[in-house]
Amino acid sequence: MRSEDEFRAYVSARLESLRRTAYLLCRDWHLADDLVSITIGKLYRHWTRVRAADNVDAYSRGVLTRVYLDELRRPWRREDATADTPEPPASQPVDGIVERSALAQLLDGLPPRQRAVLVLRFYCDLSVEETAALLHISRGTVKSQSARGLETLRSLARVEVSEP
Amino acid sequence: MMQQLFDELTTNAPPSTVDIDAIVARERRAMRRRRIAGTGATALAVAVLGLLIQVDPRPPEAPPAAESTPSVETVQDIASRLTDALRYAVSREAPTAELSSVDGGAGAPLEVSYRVCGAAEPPRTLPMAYMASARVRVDDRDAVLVFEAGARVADAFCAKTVSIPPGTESPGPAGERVFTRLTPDGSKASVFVARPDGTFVHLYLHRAEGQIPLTVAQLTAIAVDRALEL
Repeated sequence: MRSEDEFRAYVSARLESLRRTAYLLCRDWHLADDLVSITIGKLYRHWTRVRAADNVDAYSRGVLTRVYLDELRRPWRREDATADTPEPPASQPVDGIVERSALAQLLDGLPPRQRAVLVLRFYCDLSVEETAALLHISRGTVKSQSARGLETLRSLARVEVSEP
Repeated sequence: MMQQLFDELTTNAPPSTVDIDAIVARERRAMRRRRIAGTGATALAVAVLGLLIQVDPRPPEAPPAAESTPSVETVQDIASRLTDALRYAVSREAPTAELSSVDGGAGAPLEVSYRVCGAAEPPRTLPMAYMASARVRVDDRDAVLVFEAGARVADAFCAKTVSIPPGTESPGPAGERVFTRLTPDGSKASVFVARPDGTFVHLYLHRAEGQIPLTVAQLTAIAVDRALEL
């Protein structure tokens, strides 16, 4: 089956990229693998439609992001609300470089959708329009969420993080 | 800058546990199951549609819907059964009564028709009610008897088409609610039986002038006959 070979080749080539994106979204490697598995299943089911898309990578990331947001709604995945705000990073970054663990903590402190906007915009390098289309939100929302997310990162890290 | 930071976050990725072969095999099995289920459902739908076209003389009004009404008995079977039950119940309560078709002779079959709740959502394709008009003659008096047996009087689907007529309410022998009404001149009588299971029977007897040939008690005894249910 030619299209299946094509599918396998595509998924094998993008597997690590999808895993990293999933990890940035959910911040857990085990859950990231689960999300990627579900995404691959969905891509397989709709491969004819996927391969016809203008930007197959963007389509795949969109599926992954929606899988992530859907998973959050499942009762066993829901995060427990807590009255405590995340602890600020213990060490102050030097010369505008945010330490990896500090950034990880900062990302954890963002709401899921805002985190998804940041990951799609600044890690997957998608445009405002593409991000808006993938998350089914308006361009204005993407812009405001990006700005708010960056501002949150800046204020929490107290470092200068410049937009690309 | 941000890209770099994100890349740094994912540098120590553990080995992947994603098994592409297993996912593809699982999806292939699921697709096969869906295809088989789809083929089965299509075949069933075609069979049901074929049956409906065969037994329903009117053009189909809607695609076949999941329905719990007659699966073994056809529409004509039910109409025929109700006609026989009505004949028997009338002759039992009034041995001298002659029941005939409104337009035909004494031996002609009763005109049993049925109706569908067109306003139902989803539209029903199986009858909700069966109706028959008959001429009843007892001695030298005759009248027209309208018989109706229906399913689910309280069904929201048919709330607009089936309603309990006004009348005096009394309990029936099997927990039914019986609503009777006789006009002052005795020319029209109505007996409506609402059964606990939601089905109903309605008898309406009328004549142009003079008293109807059956009493309300006789009509009630006919209406509560369990054989007259869908």
